[in-house]
Amino acid sequence: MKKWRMWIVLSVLCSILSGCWSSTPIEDLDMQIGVALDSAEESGETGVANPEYGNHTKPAKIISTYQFTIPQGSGGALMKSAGNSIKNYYNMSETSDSIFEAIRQLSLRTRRTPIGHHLKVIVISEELARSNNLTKLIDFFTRDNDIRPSVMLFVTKGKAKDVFENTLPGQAPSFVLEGIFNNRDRNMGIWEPVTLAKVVGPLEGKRSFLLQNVIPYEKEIKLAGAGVIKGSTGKLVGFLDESELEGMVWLTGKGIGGVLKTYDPNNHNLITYEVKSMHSKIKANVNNGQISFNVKVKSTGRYAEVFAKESKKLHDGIVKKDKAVLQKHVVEMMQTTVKKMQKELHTEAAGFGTSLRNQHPAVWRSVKDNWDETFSEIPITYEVNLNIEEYGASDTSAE
Amino acid sequence: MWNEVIELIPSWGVVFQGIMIFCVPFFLLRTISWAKAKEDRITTRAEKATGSKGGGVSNVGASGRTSILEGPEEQSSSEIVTKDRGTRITYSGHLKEDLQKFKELSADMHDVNVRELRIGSIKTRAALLYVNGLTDKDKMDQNILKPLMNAYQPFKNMDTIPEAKDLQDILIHEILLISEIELTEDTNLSLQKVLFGSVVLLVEGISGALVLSSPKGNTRGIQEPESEAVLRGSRSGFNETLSDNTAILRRHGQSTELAMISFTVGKRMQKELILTYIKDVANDELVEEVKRRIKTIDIDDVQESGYVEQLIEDNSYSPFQQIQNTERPDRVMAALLEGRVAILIDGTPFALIMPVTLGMLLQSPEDYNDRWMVGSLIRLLRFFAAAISLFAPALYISFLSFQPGLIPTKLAISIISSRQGVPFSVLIEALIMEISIEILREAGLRLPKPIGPAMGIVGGLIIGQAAVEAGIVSPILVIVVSVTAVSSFSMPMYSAGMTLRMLRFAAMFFAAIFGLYGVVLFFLLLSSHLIKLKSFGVPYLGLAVPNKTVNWKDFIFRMPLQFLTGRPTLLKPKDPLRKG
Amino acid sequence: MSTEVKDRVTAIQATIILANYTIAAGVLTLPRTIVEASGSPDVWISIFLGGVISFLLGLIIVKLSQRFPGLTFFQYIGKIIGKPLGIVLSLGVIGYFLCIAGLEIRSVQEVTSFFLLEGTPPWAIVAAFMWIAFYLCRGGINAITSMCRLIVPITWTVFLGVCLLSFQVFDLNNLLPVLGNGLEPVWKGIRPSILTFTAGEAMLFVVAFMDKPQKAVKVIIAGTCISTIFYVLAVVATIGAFSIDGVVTRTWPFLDLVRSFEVNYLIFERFESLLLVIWIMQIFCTFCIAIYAGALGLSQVIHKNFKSCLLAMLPVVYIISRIPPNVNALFALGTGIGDCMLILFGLLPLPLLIITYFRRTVS
Repeated sequence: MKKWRMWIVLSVLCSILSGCWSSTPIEDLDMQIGVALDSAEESGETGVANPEYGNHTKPAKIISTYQFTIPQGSGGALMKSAGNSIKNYYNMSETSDSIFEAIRQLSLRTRRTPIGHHLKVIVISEELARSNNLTKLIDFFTRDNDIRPSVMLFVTKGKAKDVFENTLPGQAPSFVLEGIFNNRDRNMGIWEPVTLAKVVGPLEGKRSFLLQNVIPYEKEIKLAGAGVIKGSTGKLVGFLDESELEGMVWLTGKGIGGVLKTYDPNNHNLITYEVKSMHSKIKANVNNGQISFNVKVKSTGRYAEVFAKESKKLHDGIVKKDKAVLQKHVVEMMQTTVKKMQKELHTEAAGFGTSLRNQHPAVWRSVKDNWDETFSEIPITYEVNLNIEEYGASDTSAE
Repeated sequence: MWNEVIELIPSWGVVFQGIMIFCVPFFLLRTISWAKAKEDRITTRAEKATGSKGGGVSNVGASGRTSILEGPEEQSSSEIVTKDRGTRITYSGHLKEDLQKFKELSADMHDVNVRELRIGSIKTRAALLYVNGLTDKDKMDQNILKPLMNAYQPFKNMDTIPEAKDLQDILIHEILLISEIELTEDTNLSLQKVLFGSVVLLVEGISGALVLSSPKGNTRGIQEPESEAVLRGSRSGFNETLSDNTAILRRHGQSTELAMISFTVGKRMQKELILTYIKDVANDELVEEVKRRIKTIDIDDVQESGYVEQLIEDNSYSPFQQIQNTERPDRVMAALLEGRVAILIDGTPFALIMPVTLGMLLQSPEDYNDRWMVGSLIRLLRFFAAAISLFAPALYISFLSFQPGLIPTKLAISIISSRQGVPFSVLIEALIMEISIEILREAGLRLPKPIGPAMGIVGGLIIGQAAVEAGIVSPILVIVVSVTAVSSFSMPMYSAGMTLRMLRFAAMFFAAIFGLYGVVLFFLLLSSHLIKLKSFGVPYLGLAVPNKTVNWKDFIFRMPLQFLTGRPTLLKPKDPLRKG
Repeated sequence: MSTEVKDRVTAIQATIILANYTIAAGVLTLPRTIVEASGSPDVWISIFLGGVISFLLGLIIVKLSQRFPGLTFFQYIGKIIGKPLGIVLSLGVIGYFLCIAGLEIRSVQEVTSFFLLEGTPPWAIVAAFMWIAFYLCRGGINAITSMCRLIVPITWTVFLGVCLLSFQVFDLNNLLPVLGNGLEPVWKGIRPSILTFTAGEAMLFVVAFMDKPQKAVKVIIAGTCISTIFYVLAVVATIGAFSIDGVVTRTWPFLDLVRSFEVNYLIFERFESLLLVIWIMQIFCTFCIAIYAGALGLSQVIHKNFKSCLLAMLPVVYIISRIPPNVNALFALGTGIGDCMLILFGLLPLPLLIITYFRRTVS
């Protein structure tokens, strides 16, 4: 019976002594759902840089644009009637060289407290990413207690702010960007989602990686290839276009599903293959100090569209022939990608290094400091094995 | 180096806080021990159970019984009462005198009637005393009046009036057609009996009164227990008559091991209390402890078994009931077979089962009557419902006002939208809704049956809807509150549900101070309390923290009956196996 | 009360106490500390080895305790090395337990302040926690055991569930190559793993409460196995998601692991709430065991009422917990305590055991 009184007095005491220190009503919060980072110098303000900083490399001025949701008012009825026509987000921009300062400056402009718990995407503009180490740009986001490491990172070829302006009515661009990765089983132009958690390691370990590129496209947004972040500098070095990204997807086997389209070299007929699964294995060979790689790609799938001069039964012969054509196309795509990495970007972001490290740790230790340059000279062979399992409901090719 | 060490020395503020951390529990404990010492002086429960104190409990089975159930106990205890009063009036054997005495005693009781008569052929004067309405008049006419007046056969060969002793024998053995007859000299006692529905026969020459039991007994028939309905299972519930209740238990099955020990409780209004257990199952120590505690009951009147419950439980300051009350005979029987003991009291349909564990409060007889998979799942559902009814509003508060980052984004957006314009903080909002639901529930109980459900609809639907429309509360909260309310109804024990309802408010306050952390702390506090709580020496959480597999088989999951071979080991039953 | 030991625990209960005592604040930080020390993804091997070593250390303590059935360390130490030295050593052990308690509660406070209750004063967080722990500990070892048993199903289920869910951010490449840098990093990783989860000291007093002390060896095997599995899971999952380079940048790596994935369309989209909840419960158990041990020791050394000693512990633990001025100092304190542990429970028991052995044979 002692315990009971203790309880009561305890709880009473607690309530008297305390109060609700940390409570903030949820309706007074402003949910950040996306952040776009642009370089302030980009818009011709380069000359304004203050001279008093002297030779010190001054942090770049960043325009950070925050996207917030607009609560739709109470009552389901209103929401229904308003439907999809109301814009349910708004953007606010602030310029500062500190992202944290920028977000706190927002508090001068709005009553509601911005919170980062539900931040979904960070979009970084090309200019900014090319001139700044990514570690610095995302430092605040990885350090903050509200913002989760599950935030996805994007780069954009244009201005990041524009990405946040474009969307279909009723959808917030940040949510569209987040949700678009659900389509990875439909299109191979989508790289795997790269979250903050997935970049801190590579950035710290000086490994290169890809970030999905998103561009404003008419009134919408569109994923268009990927930006390559070079590990040694942490900066953006260039972009892979859509087909190069597809080549990268084949190289790494990270695709879940999608389309493989090619033309029969003899008669220029369209062959479309739907990828149902793919798998790739990079084998590192070391011969007398000479490193070479062999990429083995396996995939199963089915005919999606087949055109031919005349309608034909898709018997084994045709399947085999088409398979060869498709395989050749895949190899070509991969070659293009690798060539771009080796010759143009001088950056290896396809996991060849990882394979070498896992298979020949000793060799890797000797080359890892200079890996990007070493990689540019390494010969790579390809083996592609597609398996066209079925042709759908129609067993003949279209005329 | 030295400076660094100095920097590490805590500041005065920290020391002060440390002292406060010490002082608060310290003074609390001092207060509690002081209060407890005071309480021990008042209550008798703690350690002292002496015979004279308490409700005048006499030695069980000391004197021979003349009546079937009620007898020496009442008699001896009433002696104590009369002793207390200091007067003892006895019958003399002269009818006129005796009648006069009786009338004096019952001077202000006009419902006591006197019917004078002469017995059969010997024409001895006699009088019947009874209370209108309490006595079964048909029975009295047929079984008492008629045989007495027509008594020619027993006195056929007698010329004179027989001796008082013989007359009494003749009356009891040959004339009166009543099974329960008791002879008393005490006028007070006979009055007491009359007032309880018996008929008292005074006969010229006999210095005593024959108490003839013929109470009409306005008893309720056996009905379905209202507070613990089951779909599948016995429909019979206890009623207010003790003898009926014991009979129901006896009729459950033939057993010579079912013990029923009678006690009398209540100082002024005496009631019979029956302690029942199965002799070769229940632990002796447990039985002795229960007997000891019953003897310490010291109260004017035990109106309901709730009084007994509160007077003999271990920790009266715990929010949890340590004794289970039930209207269901099958539940009592099941508990007895597990090695528990039960108490039945005259005048209430609620029996008490002890000791009790937390798991029992979430079990229903249906669990055993249905197939085991269904039974297990439903039991699991009840555990889940208990958790919801305890924590749902607290979690709502902590997520909304402290940790908005822990709820899914889409939900957060819709909550923010739905709470736009709500003028109150989440705690106040939740309190408003929770309290109105509690009021609604209380009102629904009091209302006449046909109106009750209508009231529920009006309250639940219309008020809720209107509150949302008016923007006082958010629709999500209405959902939370109603789910909570419904969950707390799914408790098979009504009183367990009430405990959860009460604790829910405590949880809400914890959440309002510390958010999710507060909810965890509340859970830990509650668990700490439950761990330390004991019911008749048996750990209350006993089955939640089982030691042996035999206890697991019938806890959250109800294994098939063929696997339920043992009784709960915590109760240390004499016969640990149910079979085999 | 102070001298006689009434409560009894079974072997399974003792195992659970041991496991609960071990799985504590370290789960959140071990991935970082161990990778910092070794710099290779092979640290999970280090943890296994650390488990073996901590088992050996525990074994010595168990053997020592088994020589004095029914007596706790504080009671028998005087018999081995004489009363004055025994008291000094006991006070050292008591101080160690208090530091552990202070460290645990400070970790709770830091994590809670950072992730759950930004702005609530630390003393409020700590005070509520300590008072509830005090309330539980007054119930003695049985209450603590029951509490451990009660939360074990909850915490273990959630922990394993969270580890399974984190599979979606798991990348096996981050754990490869196995032994790519040889065995050296593995050796380097052993020290932090021992510092984090050696549990032998709990056996100093738990054995005295066991109803069958001869099973104590089994207890220490099972307890060490359980905690090793937990730590390995936590470390493997964290490295798999962040890679060794990423892990070292995270202050609370395991918590960040749970924060770094979302499962859409489940009731809980995010799981760090669940993890924090079970983690607080887990620390509650560790904290209770530690202050219980400290108070038990004190009451047996100075022959005073156990409950008063328990109460006296509270302000001391609080002040200890406030000593580290920042997070770095907190982690330093953790390492310091670990080092003390190595000396107190790694080096000392063996000579004690030998002394006991010779005393027995001589007498």
